[in-house]
Amino acid sequence: MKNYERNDAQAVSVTIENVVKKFGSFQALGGVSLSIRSGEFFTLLGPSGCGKTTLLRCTAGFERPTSGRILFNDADMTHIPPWEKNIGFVFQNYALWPNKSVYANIAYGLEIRKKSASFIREKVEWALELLGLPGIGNKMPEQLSGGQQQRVAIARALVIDPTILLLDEPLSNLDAKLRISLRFQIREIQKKLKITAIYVTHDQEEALEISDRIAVMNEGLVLQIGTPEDIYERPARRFVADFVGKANIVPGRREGDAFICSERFRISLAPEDRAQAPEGRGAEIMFRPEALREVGESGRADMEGRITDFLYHGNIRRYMVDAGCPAPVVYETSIPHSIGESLRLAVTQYRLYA
Amino acid sequence: MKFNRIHALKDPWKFFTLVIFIVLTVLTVVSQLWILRTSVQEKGGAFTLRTGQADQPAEIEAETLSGFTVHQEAPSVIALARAGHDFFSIDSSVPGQIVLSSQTTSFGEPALDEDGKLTIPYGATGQPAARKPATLQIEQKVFGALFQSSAGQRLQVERLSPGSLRIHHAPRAYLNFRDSSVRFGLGNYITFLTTGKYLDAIVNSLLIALTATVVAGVLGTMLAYLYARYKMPMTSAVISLVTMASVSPPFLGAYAWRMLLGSSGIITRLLGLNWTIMGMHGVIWVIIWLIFPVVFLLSYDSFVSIDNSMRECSYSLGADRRRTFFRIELPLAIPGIVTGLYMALMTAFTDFGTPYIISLDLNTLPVLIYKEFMSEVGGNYSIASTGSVVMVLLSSGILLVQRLYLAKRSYASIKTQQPSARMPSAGKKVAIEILTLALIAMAFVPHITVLVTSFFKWEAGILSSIPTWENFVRLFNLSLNSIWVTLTTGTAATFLTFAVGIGIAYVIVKKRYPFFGQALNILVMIPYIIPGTVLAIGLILIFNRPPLLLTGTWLILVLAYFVRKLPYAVKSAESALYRIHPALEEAARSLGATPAKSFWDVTFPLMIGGVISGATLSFLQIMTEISSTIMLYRPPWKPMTAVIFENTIDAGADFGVASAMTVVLMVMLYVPLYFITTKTRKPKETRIEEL
Repeated sequence: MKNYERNDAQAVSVTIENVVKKFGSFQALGGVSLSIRSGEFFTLLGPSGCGKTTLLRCTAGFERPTSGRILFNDADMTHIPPWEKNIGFVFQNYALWPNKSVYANIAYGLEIRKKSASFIREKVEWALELLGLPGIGNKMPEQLSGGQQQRVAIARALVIDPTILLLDEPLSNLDAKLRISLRFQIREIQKKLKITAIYVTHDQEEALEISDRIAVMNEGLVLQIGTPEDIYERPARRFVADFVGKANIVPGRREGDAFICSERFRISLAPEDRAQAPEGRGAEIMFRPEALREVGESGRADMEGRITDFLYHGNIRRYMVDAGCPAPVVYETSIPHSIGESLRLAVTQYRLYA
Repeated sequence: MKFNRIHALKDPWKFFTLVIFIVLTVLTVVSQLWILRTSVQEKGGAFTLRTGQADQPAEIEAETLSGFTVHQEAPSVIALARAGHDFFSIDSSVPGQIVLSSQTTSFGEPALDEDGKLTIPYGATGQPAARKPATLQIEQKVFGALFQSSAGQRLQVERLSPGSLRIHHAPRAYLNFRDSSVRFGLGNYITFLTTGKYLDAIVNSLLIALTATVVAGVLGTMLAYLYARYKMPMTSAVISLVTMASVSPPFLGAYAWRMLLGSSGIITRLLGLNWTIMGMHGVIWVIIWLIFPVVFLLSYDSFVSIDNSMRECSYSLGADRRRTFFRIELPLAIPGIVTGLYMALMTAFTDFGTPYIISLDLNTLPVLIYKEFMSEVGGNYSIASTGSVVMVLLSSGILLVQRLYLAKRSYASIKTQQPSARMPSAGKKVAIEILTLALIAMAFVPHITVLVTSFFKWEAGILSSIPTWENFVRLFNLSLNSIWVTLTTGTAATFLTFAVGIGIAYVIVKKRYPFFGQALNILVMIPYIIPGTVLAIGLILIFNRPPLLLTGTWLILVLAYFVRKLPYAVKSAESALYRIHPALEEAARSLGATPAKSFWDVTFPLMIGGVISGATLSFLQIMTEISSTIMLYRPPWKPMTAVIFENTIDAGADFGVASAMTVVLMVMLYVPLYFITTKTRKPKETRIEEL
């Protein structure tokens, strides 16, 4: 099943068709279908145990799907073992071989491919340059910082010109600042090499920043696939809204043209949204903390409430507003207020979940 | 991932699993079952009939009677019964002949061989003859005559009816009756548990093992605690010395103490003592020093690994040092200490060399089994097997107690900070030093004794004061072959054990075959509870007939060592494999390495450091193995331990050669030990956090 040249760095598309994976009686993947375009940076996002890593490992060939198919371009790769696939895989714990130098770690894949010594030297140098790590080839992995180790691991995966780059939570063991800078570096390299990348993370912020498209997963199923904007602004499900970013999710019911939670919380609905929540039946309304706007005495407000608590975050202030609903509404703004003040707020963007 | 037999031939790991599974089943399960089978076999029985003179009736010699019960029916009629059933009766009313008659047994056609031995097939009356019928053999011996037999005095037999035979014999003949039949029953166990000799062996074994373990446990734990808590000069030297003592040959202590304090020992004669070390007290004393090192080393490790903050926390909550020790430190160290005590107890319980060398007539289980099995006057395999089963049951019981005790006390592995040791006060320091010196001295008395005596001349089993090289010269002239045998069997067994051990560990950890993986995991641990003596009997029982005629060969020694050390090899390789994160191999596979190549390139180099030190330790233990070696070896394949052993037990034995051989063995032990403790690079820790 080698119907493409191994050295061909041309990106492939990945099609996942109804993949089910069971471990004994536990169903890790319950029929997942995705199609990832060539050269795309695609992220699998979800809480731990949602099946994202399993899906990535099935794609790599470390696990075999119980049923379903995985295609690279048009070639069925479902049962091809990883060593015949020409993939780059980056592990959460780096998985650098502690007994091999940085150089030997990176050169390994090329030695397997029986490249000439001079080619290997050049290629390893190229990879180290690419990751911004020149001149550390002679060091042992344990002499490097966590960030350097992970960049070596990425260099090791890229040096073989893989057709696809798979990254399994590569940044989760690093500290916050390093995570952000490395995140950009990965994205930059991916675009430069025009390689298809599948990235697994549970960090929604990371997913939003780095991805071309995101698949949000939970309990072995894909809940929504879309661009970061789609996912954040138009979450298809309550779970997606809650998992990605901060969300106010307020229970209530529709009465006529409005969604009501309490006498001080009454959001008027656009006509096209009314059908989503049947009259009188329980439903939930979701809006982001920043999708609230203060209105004066004369303006039309969707809710009125008193500030009960306040958290200062530097660039923004976060207020807890008691509008008579079961939980306080979170409102983010840069305008200073104090606890006890009353606010009149209007919702600029919302979603209804029945 | 079904385990498919046909497919197994294509996947090398499956093939390996299948082959090893079969081999181990034969070596462990089958051999033990064979011992069990032998232990429930009862010999048909035997007795000697002394025929009378003139009109005196015949009598059975009471001490020759086994397997039968006898009662006198009439002055000249003896009735024999077996297992509660009547067998036949012997009527000797007519001089020169006896009549065998039976209601329950029918005799077949008797056959007389050239030596005058009569063989009579028999079977139960009214039942078809068995394919291979049981036989009664009768042999005539005439004493008092110059020549034991002449043509005229041969046995003659007439078959009167199926239930009756008349046998003519020589006057004043002794007739040996032997029944060839084998029956299955618990008779051997009843004998074993009701006969004084056997019961004593059980009691002695337990008494010796428990007493020695308690004393060594107190001494070892105490010294370990002192060294873990106080900054003592030379701590690492003390630990090295104890480690050296821990790999000493197990029979060395017995042999050296007997040279010093035996009935013609050096000190005994020097001081004109009436007292000797020979006896149970001596066995206990010697075994204490044999097992002291393992208790010390394991206790020391567990005390050192207690995080200092645990103690400090206890102090901060108001507990003083004494209460902190009993409430916090001891409970945390208990799993390690108990493991040490368990190993000590097992060593003491299964030790064969010490009681055999130290005590002339003290029976312990291993000694008794050895004597019963190896006895030159027709070894009794059945009773030896019964003893083996009893021994395996007792050691399984000890293991069970240890496991149950630890199961309730398993603590999550404690991450250690730098352990802090206090400076002892001047007085305490001196006290600890004196204690250390005393304990280390006792542990090394044997080594020094042997070293010194190897350079002196022995005369008729007594050490003279004449220095000489002669012992070594004789050793190299006569017994060089033994060094060769020890080295080759040891090396071969070690390589085999660790090659197979790594493979099995890999199958268990990585392959996880549904049934065979689990089964293999259990199978490799079976030898763990089989004492060396019992293992040897099992191997002899299954390999003493074609096509697997291996008894007395070089190979059977290698097999015995292989089986004995396999559990340790598998467990050490297994823990090495568990420490290596699976992602390390997966990384190689994602880069194009096949599973076999990724194992060789990644996992193997990472585990080899630990494997080499484990294998070296196994090699040292194999070189000093005595309990199975002594039963399995046959010349010319005679290992060093056997040479030493033989030259220490006989009164007229060559103690000089034994000493010289022991010195050579010690050199062979301590040089590799020095290299693995100081020279080998510790395997680098894999920098992989558990997910």
